[in-house]
Amino acid sequence: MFESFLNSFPLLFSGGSFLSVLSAICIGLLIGLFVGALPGLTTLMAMAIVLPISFFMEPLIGIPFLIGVYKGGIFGGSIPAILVGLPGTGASVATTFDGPPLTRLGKGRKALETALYSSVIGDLSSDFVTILLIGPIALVALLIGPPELAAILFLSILIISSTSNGSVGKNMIMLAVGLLLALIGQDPIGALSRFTFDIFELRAGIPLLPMLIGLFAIPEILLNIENKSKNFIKSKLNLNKEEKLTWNEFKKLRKTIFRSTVIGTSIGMIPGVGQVVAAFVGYAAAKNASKHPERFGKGELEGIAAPEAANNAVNGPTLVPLLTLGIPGDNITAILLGAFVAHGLRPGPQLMNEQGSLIFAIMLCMIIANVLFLIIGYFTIPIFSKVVSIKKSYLLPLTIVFAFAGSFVFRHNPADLYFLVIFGVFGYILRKLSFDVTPLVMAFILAPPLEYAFGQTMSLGNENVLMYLLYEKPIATFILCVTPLITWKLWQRSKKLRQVAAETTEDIRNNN
Amino acid sequence: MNFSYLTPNLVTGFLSVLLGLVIIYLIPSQLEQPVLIFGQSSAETDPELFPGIVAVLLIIFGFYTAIFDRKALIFNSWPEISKDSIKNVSITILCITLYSILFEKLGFVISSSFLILFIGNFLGSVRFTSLLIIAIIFPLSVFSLFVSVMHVFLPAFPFYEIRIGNFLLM
Amino acid sequence: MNNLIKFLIISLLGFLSVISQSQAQYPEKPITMVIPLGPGGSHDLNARVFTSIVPQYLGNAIIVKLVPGASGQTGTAMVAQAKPDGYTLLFTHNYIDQLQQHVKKLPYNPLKDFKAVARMNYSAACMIVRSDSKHKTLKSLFDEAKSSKGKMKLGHSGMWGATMVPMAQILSWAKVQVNLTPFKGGGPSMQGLLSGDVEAILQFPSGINAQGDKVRTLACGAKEKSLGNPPVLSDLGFPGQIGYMDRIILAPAGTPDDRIKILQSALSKLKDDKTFKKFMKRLGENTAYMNGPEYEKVRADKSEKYKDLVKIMTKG
Repeated sequence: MFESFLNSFPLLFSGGSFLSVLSAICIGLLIGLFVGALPGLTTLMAMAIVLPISFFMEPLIGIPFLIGVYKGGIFGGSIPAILVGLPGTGASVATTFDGPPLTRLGKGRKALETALYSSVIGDLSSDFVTILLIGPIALVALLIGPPELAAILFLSILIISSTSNGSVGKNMIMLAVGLLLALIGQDPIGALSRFTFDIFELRAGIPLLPMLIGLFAIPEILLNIENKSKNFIKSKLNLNKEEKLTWNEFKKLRKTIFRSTVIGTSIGMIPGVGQVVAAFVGYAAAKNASKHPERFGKGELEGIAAPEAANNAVNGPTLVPLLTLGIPGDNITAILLGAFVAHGLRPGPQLMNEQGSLIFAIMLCMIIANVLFLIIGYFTIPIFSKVVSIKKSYLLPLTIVFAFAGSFVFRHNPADLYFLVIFGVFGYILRKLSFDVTPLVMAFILAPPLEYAFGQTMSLGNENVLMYLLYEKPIATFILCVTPLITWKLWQRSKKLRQVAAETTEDIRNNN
Repeated sequence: MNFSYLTPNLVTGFLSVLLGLVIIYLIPSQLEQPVLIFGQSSAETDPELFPGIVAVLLIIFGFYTAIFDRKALIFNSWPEISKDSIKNVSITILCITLYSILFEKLGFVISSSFLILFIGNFLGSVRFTSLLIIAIIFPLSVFSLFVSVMHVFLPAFPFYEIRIGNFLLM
Repeated sequence: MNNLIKFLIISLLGFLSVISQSQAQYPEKPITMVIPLGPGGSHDLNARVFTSIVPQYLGNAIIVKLVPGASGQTGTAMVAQAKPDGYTLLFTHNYIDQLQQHVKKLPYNPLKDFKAVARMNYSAACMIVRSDSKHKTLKSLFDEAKSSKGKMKLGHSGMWGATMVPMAQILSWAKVQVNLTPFKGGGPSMQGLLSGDVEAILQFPSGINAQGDKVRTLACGAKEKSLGNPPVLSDLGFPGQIGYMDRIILAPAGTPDDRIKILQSALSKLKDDKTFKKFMKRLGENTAYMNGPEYEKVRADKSEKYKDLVKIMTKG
């Protein structure tokens, strides 16, 4: 294995092809960035569209091209999330918490740069770890079966819900509502319809992206519209000189980025969990560890660094099951699998033995892609941040059009626009009543895989699931036992914080 | 008007319990029963299990919020909304609802132009002519971007097969 | 003002890129092909391959539109309701097209609302176990199933899917009961096999080849040279074709025949294209093209067979 690694260097750098590899990656990054920045156009879609183009290139050019699109797309989604509160992809939702407030304070460029640096560092670190530990990571993938996955997903939902703002009761209600929304449609295993009320549009369930855009972007827009005349005169004042991120500010983010990278890399190793969860868990962990958790959500740079580093750190390990076992962990790796196969390479144990140096060369390209990405990002950020300097009266309707276009192209289903409006209004009401929608979104996203893994566990356990877990699946049992402890601890902490906040509010009231 | 005991948490809790009960009522009629395969049920878990759990959760947490968090001090006050905000927000909501209905019928470009014109004007402090120009150019460029570059589809003009010379607008 | 100019330029560029050659005959504009499944699957890959080569034979592009949801119903319904002018097609497989109607209430009638244009290829599933498993033949697998009284675990890639139905057919023919665990697709079911959660799965050759010597093939639905010619199920006594997934292109009923003929002639020319054959071979797929009218007979026939199969399976 080590030999293959050493051989990958000459393979990559030989001859003039290195330049073509670099340009392929660059073009891929730009395409990905562009597509990611347009809400509704998922990176997945972009990769599927350029896939045929990559067929006609050499594998060492075509595959890094696709990887470039992939990496560009993840950051691209953060751009509208930060600037106008429109999550470009699911993974950027956590960035919409602190992004728009920062933009409103005139710190849009700072926020974008934070996102860029955090993403690159998270991605680079996880790529290094992947290359070094590719063997052990593959073993982890095989150890995580349905019971483990179910336990991990359950734990994630609880972690994220217990670190949300607001009262426990309200958060849990949001959680339950999220579960309810996830139920609508067909059940993940048997495809049996539930709660569809004979409306055909509901048979496929509630579409994710329109719901996210509705819950996060539309309330943002409506809140802006509330005080229409007052806001808009002021808005021109802040954005004359875009401040860059200072070194000092960046230094303070170190710990957060490190923590999020670890979180993202670990989550990436577990097939089936994904970037969205990583982003939210990273955010929750940062908030939990911070001395001023109440600043999160009001324009805290840590609130951008945490989810961004985490969701990019997922990228490296996610490729491991694909490269070593030939098993795609999600849709994006499935497309990469297609690209490999179309080039005559069959990722899997056989390929690692026969063409290990090629695989390592591709992984080196991932690292190169990150470096290039840093450069490209740095120069394109000023352009993007200028976008929001147009008058609010233009910006808001244009954002609405964008949001609708994005929601529509997600599934080409006009019903999705109705979902968008309904969730938009719903999200606005929830915002006004100080509900935190994070538990709802988390439950909605994680419930189907959780239900599926649960059903599989029931099936694998034959008649006696408890015995099955205890005897054959110690990891799952361990996680299940640890879950209540972790949840209890987190709950205690947030209760303490609430008490402090309540006392402060009480003091203020008494003093008035 | 002493409704001060009617805190948002109480109302929320109450609604939550109500929702839970509604779900329990709906379960028998809204769940498709699994098909039997070779005598065994093809669904690994009873289809009523998860909806049942969700309903129970809603009821439990509803009670919890209504009773224990009723008097919570933070995150528990009715928002202060001025009449102005209500007017602005309602008009906007009305606009986007119309927009979503007309999106497919009138096509992306036309309905978006109307939306931009109306809301831009409504928000004020812009010159009408520049608004008009933007209202036409922006949807057109987004349209060509999405459709021709990315090959993703947005509903085009409502007229069947508009052509400009050789240029087909689907 | 600056922004205005930027927008003007962008839109002009956008327009310029759409100007196409004027053709007097069908297809005058790109054709939309809906795939009622998610991205990244073998269907998607097959489609991307042939849509990247077909324009030279057809005169215009075929654009893939992924419309997943409701086990394929959303995409299929969309095409059923589309205008039958030959510009909207459906790329699906036989289980969605011929079997689903017997297990679900559909808002359309597959046989009546769709016309077959062509079958692009087919794939036959194979039964595989881990290479360290003690089973070297199908018979020994069944013996253990019988002796374990239904507790042996096998996996499949989804309810009424391309590996579940043949699995059920095989098991009912062998008269064995097992514990069938669902997985979310071919990839996860392979993972389940490798990690030891299940003893055997059905998988298509392209997926099997990737695993090299980590898995052993016990039998296949059809002759499969790339896997070393394992026993074919029909030779072992299984009646009829089994485990065949046909990838088919359908058009809404009412599409004019002459347009369908143009499509068919382009597609049949495609199957002899060198680049096409090269890519299909790499994907591990064959190019067994079958024309529309021929396949209609297969459709009707398989539909009946599936109806009977479902009746037997759900009788209990």
